[in-house]
Formats: sequence, C-alpha cells, structure tokens
Amino acid sequence: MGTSAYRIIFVVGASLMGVSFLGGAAHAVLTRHRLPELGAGPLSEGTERLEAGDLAGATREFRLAAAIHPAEPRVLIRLARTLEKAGDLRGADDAYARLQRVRPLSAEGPAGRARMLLRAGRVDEAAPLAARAVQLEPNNPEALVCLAEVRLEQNRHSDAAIAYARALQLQPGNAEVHNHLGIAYALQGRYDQAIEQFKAALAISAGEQFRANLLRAQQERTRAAAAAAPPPAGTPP
Amino acid sequence: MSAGPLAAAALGAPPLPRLRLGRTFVHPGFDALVIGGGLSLLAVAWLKYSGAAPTQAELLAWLPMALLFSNSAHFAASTVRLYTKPGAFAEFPFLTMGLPLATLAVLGLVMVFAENVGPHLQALYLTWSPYHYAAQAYGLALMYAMRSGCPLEPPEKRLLRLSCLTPFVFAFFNGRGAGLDWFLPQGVQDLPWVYLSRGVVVQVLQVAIFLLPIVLLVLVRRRGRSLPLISLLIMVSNGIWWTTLVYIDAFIWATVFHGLQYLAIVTIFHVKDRQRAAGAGRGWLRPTATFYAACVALGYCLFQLWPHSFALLGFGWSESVLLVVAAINIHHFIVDAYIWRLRKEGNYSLVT
Repeated sequence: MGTSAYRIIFVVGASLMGVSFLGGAAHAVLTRHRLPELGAGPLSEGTERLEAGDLAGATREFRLAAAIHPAEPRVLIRLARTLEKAGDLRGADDAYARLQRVRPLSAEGPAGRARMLLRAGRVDEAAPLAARAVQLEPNNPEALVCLAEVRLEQNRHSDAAIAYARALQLQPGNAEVHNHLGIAYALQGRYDQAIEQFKAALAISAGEQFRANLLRAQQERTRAAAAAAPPPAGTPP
Repeated sequence: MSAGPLAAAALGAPPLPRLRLGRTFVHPGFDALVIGGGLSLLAVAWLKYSGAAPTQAELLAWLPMALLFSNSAHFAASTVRLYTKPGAFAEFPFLTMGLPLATLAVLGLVMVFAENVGPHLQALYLTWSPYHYAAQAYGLALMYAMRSGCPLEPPEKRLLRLSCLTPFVFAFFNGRGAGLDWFLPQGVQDLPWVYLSRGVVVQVLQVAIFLLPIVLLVLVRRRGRSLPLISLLIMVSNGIWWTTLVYIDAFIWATVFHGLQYLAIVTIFHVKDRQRAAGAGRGWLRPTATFYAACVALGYCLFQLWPHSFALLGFGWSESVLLVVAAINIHHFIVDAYIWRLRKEGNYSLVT
C-alpha cells in the first residue's frame, strides 16, 4: 500500500478516535453531569440499576458481562444475586454453578446453589451443597445460615440451632438470624431461649413476624408450663 | 587446607565473578525496585506479614488512582512511544497509520456481535496477557545481561526464554476463562484424567517458575560469567505475580507493578532518544514529565472516555467497558511486539 493511502487511513482513524473521545466526554457530561469517574468499571451501571430497583436492566447488564467474561467471579456473583432477587431460581442456580467452577474453594457457589434448591423445595439436593459450603468456609455466616435452613427443613432442629448460633457469633446484629434461631429453639421446646432470640430480633428491627413469633413462643411456654405442672390436690387421676 | 582463590590464581584459573545487581539505567535502588519488580515483592511481603498493612477496603480505595497513573498510562505509553520514536512512521507504516483504524473496525464489529464474538476477544486478551508479561520479562532480563557485560550464548538465551515463558505456560494451564479453558470444551476439561493431568502440569510449572532462573544463574556462573541479579529479580517477580498474587486474588496489583516497570523503561528509552537528538546538555526532567503526562492523558481518554462513546451509540455499559479494555490490551500487545525490536542504530545502542 502506498504512503498516501496510509496517510488517508491514518487521518480517518485518528479523527475517528478523536471524535470518539469527544463523544464519550459529551455522553458522560450529559448523562452523569460530570466527566467519567475513575472507579467506574463494567459492573457500575448494573449496580446503579440494581440500587434503583431496575432488576431487568441490572440483569441485562450483568448477563452480558458474564457472557463476555465468563470466568470473572465478581460478575458471576452480581448476576447470581440479581437473578436470585428477581426470582429466577434456575438462572441464579446456573450462575452459582459457574461461580463454583471458577472459584472451587469458595463457599459462595455451593451456598448459593443450596439456597436456590431449598427455595425450589429440593431439600435433599440442597443438603450436600450446604454442607460443602460450610466445609469450605467454616466461618462464613452466609454458608452457616444456609446449612441451618437446610437442617431446619430436615427437622434437625438442634443442628440448625447450632449453625444459626455460630452465624450470629460471626455476624452479630442480624435480626433474621436471631428470628430463625428462635424458631429452631421453639421447635425443640426451648421456649426461654426462643423468646430471648425473638426479643433480640425485635430490638434490632421491628418486624411483624418477629412480634408474632415472640407472642406464640410466650403462649407455648405458658401452655407447656401448665401441662407440666402437677395436678392440684384432690383432682381425680 | 583447601584450594582457595590464591591457589586458583597461582594455577591460572580465573576467579568466579562476584554476584552483582548489574549495570543499571537510573540508580541501583530505582532499577531494582521499579524495573526489577522488587517493589512488588516488598509490597506482597508487607501486605502478607505486616500488622500495619492497609485493609482490603483501604487498598481498593486507592486502586482507581493506581490504575490510572500506572496501568492505564502504561497502555498509552506504547502508543505514545510509537508515535514519538524517531523513524517509526517509515519503519512501521501499518502499525503507525493502519492499526488505529483496523482496531476501531474490529472493535465496532465485536461490539455489534458482543454476545457471540465478545467472549473470544476477551479470551484472546486474557490468554495473550501472560505471554506479554513473559516477553517483557525476557526482554528486560536479556537487556540487563547485555548492558552488564554478560552477553548470553544461544543455549543460555533459550534457557532464559524458557524461564521467562514458564509463568505464561503456567497461566495457560491454570487460568480460568482463558488459555486451555478457551480451547478445550467443558466436557473434555471435566474428564478425570484431563482434570488430574492439568493439576499435575500446574504443580510442576509452579516449581519450574522459580527453579529455572536459579538453574540459569548457576549455568552462566559455571561458564565463568555473572548474570546480573536484576535479571533474576525480573524473572522471579513475574513468577510471583502469576502464582502468589493470582492465588490471593490480588492480581490486579500485579498489573500496577507491571505498568510501573513498563513506564520506567519506556520513559528511559524515550528520554535517551530525546537527549541523543538534542545533543549534549539536554536535561531529563522535561522530556520525562511531558512523556508521562501524555501517557496519563491518553490513558484517561482510552479507558474512561472511549467506553462512553459506545454507550452514546446505544451499546450497554458492561460490554462497552469490557470490550474496549480487551481491544486496548490487544493493540498494546501488537505495538509492543514491534517497538522493542533491537536494531543496531536504535534500541540496541540505547541498551548497550
């Protein structure tokens, strides 16, 4: 190719690049009222949409990011959590499975998959994944909560309580976990401990469910106490 | 009584050369820390073992600035170097005049078919990246050997190349979403013997990454020469980046150190070119500052403004950022493969 042809190509290419930069700056100023900020990565738009409640927009962003960069854990985590929030259990399960493949030593993948299976009512399939998550990261509160939920569904209330209690040790101040630990205690008939947990949940957050559970536990405790009390003297056996 | 140096001298055998850092460009401390990658090793040790090290969140707060002033600037540096290098337009007409439009055209096409073609552009960039690091390590290690009076024989050069390429091969087998992952279907990867063999290869390579540079050092010494320690440091640093930093999920910081290394050496070459063109008495500060400022400015345009131009055209933000970054990387790898070629009248004379 001749020098003059190269020069023309160069002028066209350089001009297009210049126009691209100017157009990019104009777009940023018009849409965000400032020049692009340094920390804006490929997930920033999706995260903003998620915060604004635009689940469909966020899903589209994260889905495309995961298609282009299928081995990036941060992309897969965002995609999985967004799909989970949107109620797309199958999609979320797939994203968590991909995460598990990319980060085989992280609890996030198996715990997420277990949660999805649990929500689909497939407790037996969820159980080994939840156990694996805790085995990988014994101090991961999310994995412990997931295992506790599985144990609760399996009617292994004592094991559930142990896992919830451990999760609370690691991450205190979680009203939901206090509430679930209360349920696990109540199901074992340990009403005093259950009431303590429901009160702790209410102290953190004024949830209607927590209040109802507290009332019910108090009623159950009264009923149990009455049933256990010796009959008054003179009552026929 | 053992045969000491005195006895060796009496017998006429030359004494073994002492271990030395090598002939540096700026200052032994600067060359070892920035170009040799010593800073990255100190940083890794500090983060891992010091109680006073910043937290992950504190480090992440600094990351955008570090990426702009090191990583983005280093990508721009190859382009700035190309267009300021004396005689580059005549020597590389396609590279200087054709590649920008070709890059735009390819990127535009990939953007349109982002879901289908985008993953391959991404995988190409991720697969090529460790090779680029390896080639840089080889070039720098060889350059320091040459300028330190330790020219390598062809077999030694081959061993040096092998040693520098081992982290690339390691990343090829170990990386996710690139390298072997890109070429082998998932079903094949999941076959037990493939999975097992891959694990064994990765383990062997991990040892070889740190063993081969030592073998080279010993081999060169046995032949009566002394490989500069900075060459060894460059190889070991690159090995640490692709092993330790990958495992602790901190590879992003390796890109910062690689960028610093690149910026330092490319600026040295640029300044020496400028000084040579201007004659004796030309200072280094002004050409250094103008070159670096141009790199930071172009880096900002490429990484921050360019993705917005695709968003302006209606493309999604995530694919705009990911594919623009992949295209910039690949452009950088191509340009880099040409601008460092040693020719008697150009880079070679600056090295020696």
